Amino acid sequence: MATSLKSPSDVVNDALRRIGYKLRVASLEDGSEASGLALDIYGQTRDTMLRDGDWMFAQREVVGTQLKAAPPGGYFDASWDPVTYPPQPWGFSFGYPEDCLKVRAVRPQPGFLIDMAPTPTLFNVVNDNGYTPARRVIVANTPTPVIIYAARVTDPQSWSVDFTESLCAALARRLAPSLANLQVEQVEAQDEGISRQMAVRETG
Amino acid sequence: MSNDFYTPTAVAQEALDSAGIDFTLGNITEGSRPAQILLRKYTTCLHQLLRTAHWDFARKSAPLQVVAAQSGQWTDQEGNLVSVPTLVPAGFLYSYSLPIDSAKIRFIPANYWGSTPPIPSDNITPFDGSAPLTNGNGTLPWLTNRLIPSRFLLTSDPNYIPEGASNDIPGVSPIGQTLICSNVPQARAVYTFNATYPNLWDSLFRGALVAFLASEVALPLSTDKKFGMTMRKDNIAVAMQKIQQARVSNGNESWANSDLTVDWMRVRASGGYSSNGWASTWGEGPGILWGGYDGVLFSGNTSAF
Repeated sequence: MATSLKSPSDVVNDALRRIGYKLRVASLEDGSEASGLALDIYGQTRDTMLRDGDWMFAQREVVGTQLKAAPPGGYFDASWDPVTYPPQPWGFSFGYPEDCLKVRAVRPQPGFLIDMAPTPTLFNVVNDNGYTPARRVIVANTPTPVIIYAARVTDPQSWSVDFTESLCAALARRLAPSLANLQVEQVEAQDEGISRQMAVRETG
Repeated sequence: MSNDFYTPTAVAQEALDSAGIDFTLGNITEGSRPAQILLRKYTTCLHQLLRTAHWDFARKSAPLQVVAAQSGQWTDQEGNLVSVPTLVPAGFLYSYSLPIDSAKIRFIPANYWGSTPPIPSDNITPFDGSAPLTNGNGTLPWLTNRLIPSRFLLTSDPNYIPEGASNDIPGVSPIGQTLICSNVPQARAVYTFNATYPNLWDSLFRGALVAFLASEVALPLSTDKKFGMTMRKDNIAVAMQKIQQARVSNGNESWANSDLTVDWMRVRASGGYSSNGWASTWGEGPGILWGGYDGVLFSGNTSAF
């Protein structure tokens, strides 16, 4: 469901209202004190929130792009070489999606529509030093997996109401020490905790 | 079409509800934290629970694939005499491979009535086309006779490891294969199979699995750990009661008799050739509960024996 706040400046203005700040921002680049401070923390706060929650609107599923594969049967006939083979002890490595903030799960390609015997698939996110410079890759033992991840979603109109509420509260807490006072920050910290808790409940 | 009620996700959602976790699951493989934890526990709990009682719905009888015979000879599906390996663990005449879908072997019927005809030509071909050692259909006793359990042994044998064995097939690994040793030729096994489809389960099983799963996820998913501990304890109690009830119900449902003897003992009374205690000389029960069932250890050091 689309949120009523349609732009980053709407989100920041909501946060400013929460801490009792009297002025508004026209945009995050309008040069005011509040917009400057908000611009500094906006992207990182949004990404952290997207990464830490189970927000379904941010979920993406893609087929992994295989980069390297270990020799079938192991390294009995070929010694391990980081340039050719994936980091040990994994069978395959896959490209890290550009807009990925967190890999939530890796699962094999589906066969039946509904898997009646679902089992977890192990994976990890590592730096592969076989590339120069080292490259962040996803490693797993499944040759053609589906990678499920939390994506960076920047358009507030794509967010759920819960997420927008949580982000506004988080921004307010971070802006309070500079634009209001520490007492307000404490209040906002509580507000942020409550909105996060409610959001977790409603996520599914 | 699919009925969503009979899916692992619906079972997992019930478990979340029973654990007091306020979260709506889209799919058990969706990757959210509750889904990840449920996914890690789901199959383990399912397999454990299948072993804790002789669930009627999970009973299966199927012919076994021979791996070795002490005599070195075997009659194949077409009735031809073929050579087979001879290394069989001491004390037994035949080694059979473990059915790929077995959760627990209940018993091997003693087929002392002779062998059955070969499998009809239009029957389903075993999935491993390169395996030449399939035996004929196990012998079924006369229609009116009950199944007599025979002695068998489950053991790991390092002598017959299929090429390319890894860790993807239960009972088959590069360091050994789990075999069933028996003295019954052309043997069938009566076993509990991995009934993964929830629409096969009876309501007690589903209820027990929900409670078992809830007891496993309550603590990791509760923000308030005290609450999580309470929910875990409560769900363990529910699971235990359902398992106990299932053992009684499955025994009763398997053996209809109006005699005034105690049914829960009669269903076990099913001896072999020997005279040994209350399961002596063929016994008089159907052998449904032969071999007993497994206990289950819940979190928090509680168990249902």
